[in-house]
Amino acid sequence: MTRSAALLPIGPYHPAFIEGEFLRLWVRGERVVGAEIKLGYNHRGIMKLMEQRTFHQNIFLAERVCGICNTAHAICYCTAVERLLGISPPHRAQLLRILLAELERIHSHLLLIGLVADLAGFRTLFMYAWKIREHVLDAIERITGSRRHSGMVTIGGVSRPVPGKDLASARRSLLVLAKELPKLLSIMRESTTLKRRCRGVTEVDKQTARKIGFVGPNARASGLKLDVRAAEPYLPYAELDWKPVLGEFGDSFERLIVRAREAYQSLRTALICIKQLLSESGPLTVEYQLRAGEGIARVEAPRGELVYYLAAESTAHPSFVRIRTPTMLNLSAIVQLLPGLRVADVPIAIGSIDPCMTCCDRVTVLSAQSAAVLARIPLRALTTWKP
Amino acid sequence: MKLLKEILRALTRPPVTTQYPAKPASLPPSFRGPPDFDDARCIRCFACSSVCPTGACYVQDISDGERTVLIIDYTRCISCGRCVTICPTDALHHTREYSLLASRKTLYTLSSTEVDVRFIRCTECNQPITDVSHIRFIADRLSENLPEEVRDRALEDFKRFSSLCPACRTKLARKLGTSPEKWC
Repeated sequence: MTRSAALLPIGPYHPAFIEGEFLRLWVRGERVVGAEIKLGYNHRGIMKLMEQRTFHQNIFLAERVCGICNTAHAICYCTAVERLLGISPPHRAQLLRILLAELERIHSHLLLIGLVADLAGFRTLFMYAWKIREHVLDAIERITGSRRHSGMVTIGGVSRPVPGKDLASARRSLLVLAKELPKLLSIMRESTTLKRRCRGVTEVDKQTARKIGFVGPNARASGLKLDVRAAEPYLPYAELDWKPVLGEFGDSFERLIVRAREAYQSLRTALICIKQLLSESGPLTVEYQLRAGEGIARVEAPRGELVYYLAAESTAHPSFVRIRTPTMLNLSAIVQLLPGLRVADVPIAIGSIDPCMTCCDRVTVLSAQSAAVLARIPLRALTTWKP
Repeated sequence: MKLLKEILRALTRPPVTTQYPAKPASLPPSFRGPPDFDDARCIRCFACSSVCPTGACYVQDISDGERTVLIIDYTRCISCGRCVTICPTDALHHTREYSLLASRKTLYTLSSTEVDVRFIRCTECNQPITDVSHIRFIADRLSENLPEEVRDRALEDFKRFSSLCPACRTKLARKLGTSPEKWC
């Protein structure tokens, strides 16, 4: 950046990082004057792998793109395939998908609140948030049989029915959570530790949030009404008396508060959903026939807008798959906001957008001699690509 | 202030930790453990091995096509339950095993899945086709689902075609003029 600024390289592998990323900060004293983030240390080639597996095998692969928001990935992949095939899942399966997606959102948001509390040095809140997260994981375990990676969402619906007994016992753990969540919100609002660390850090107004490309709860914390569930309802959210949660200040603290409020709203949606599911019967899947075409789906994952695009040539496997995870947008947005912060605020700023670095790793072909970027090519062309 | 209450409660009440190794873990009713296999029900269609997303469930020919082994490798199995869903005769089911600890890697492979396949051989070229019980299963299904008036003829045709390997089957179909290419 400028000549007087010192370069502070953090990573790619660093005890403070959970995932591999290379953060370069140019600092002058305590102030950050420039920032750059480099990804690509955890590339797993999932999109290429998807082209070699059948549509059905890919559901489980899509689930494993992310350990936290795996149901969102499965729903997004299956919705894209369903649009390709021109089918739509039965109503009961759609309700079950909403239930799974909303429970996952609660778990993801509570996890992040705990993480940021830990980054801010407020370990008691970290423990508390993760303690009440167990209730929602219990509910998920009751419904799907496992805490994460349910393997329930399938092409054309949901693969297994959920007995009413399991739904009722999941409801009981959610009702315990319903008492704990308002407590969590008031602890967060009253806590001077959290407020002093997070208030005013990377404050973004509505216009800037739109300009730098925030998605998901980060955009909604700035008051920007950006929610795929409202904009392009891929599941019947309208029946469940659901509205997007909006914040106003758009700083790191508001992003946490919006997440806590959203968790509460998701809980409400999940409870309504369980009530409807208990009284509803009907098929869970529809029959389908593979065909050529292309499908694109947008889904509101806990972190924001998730996009799957796939094309097929009437074979058993997709011929091209593209995934765009929300972190791709959020991360490039937050890096623009880092200059001007103190070095100590950088972990809070990056943590507050709920980053998931590994999910968004892509391939870039570099020259071995000069490290110059030779090409950013689609993965499809990698097998035949020649420098 | 709210948090202080929480801290005091944690001091007086026992922690959430359970006595895990001493007491068995409580599993949800729909728990998906590693799949186990019922030899008596299996019809040797090996649908499980063709749908497995990770290649944990696979078929291996030993002793030159005379014996075939169905192997489930627990180190690769992700307990997705796809094989259990696809199995036409419910021969696979999830166990309630949650502690998959073993001292040797070979112990992770389900060895009870050695299935003996009594191969039907092609009447033309003597190539092994598939197991007797698989053919019988398909014939049973056909006779169940077909309407009365075409059943006998269809079963007769099925008997003729099922005794041939795929290559010879195509040849016969071409000769009879019933191959799919005709309609393409």
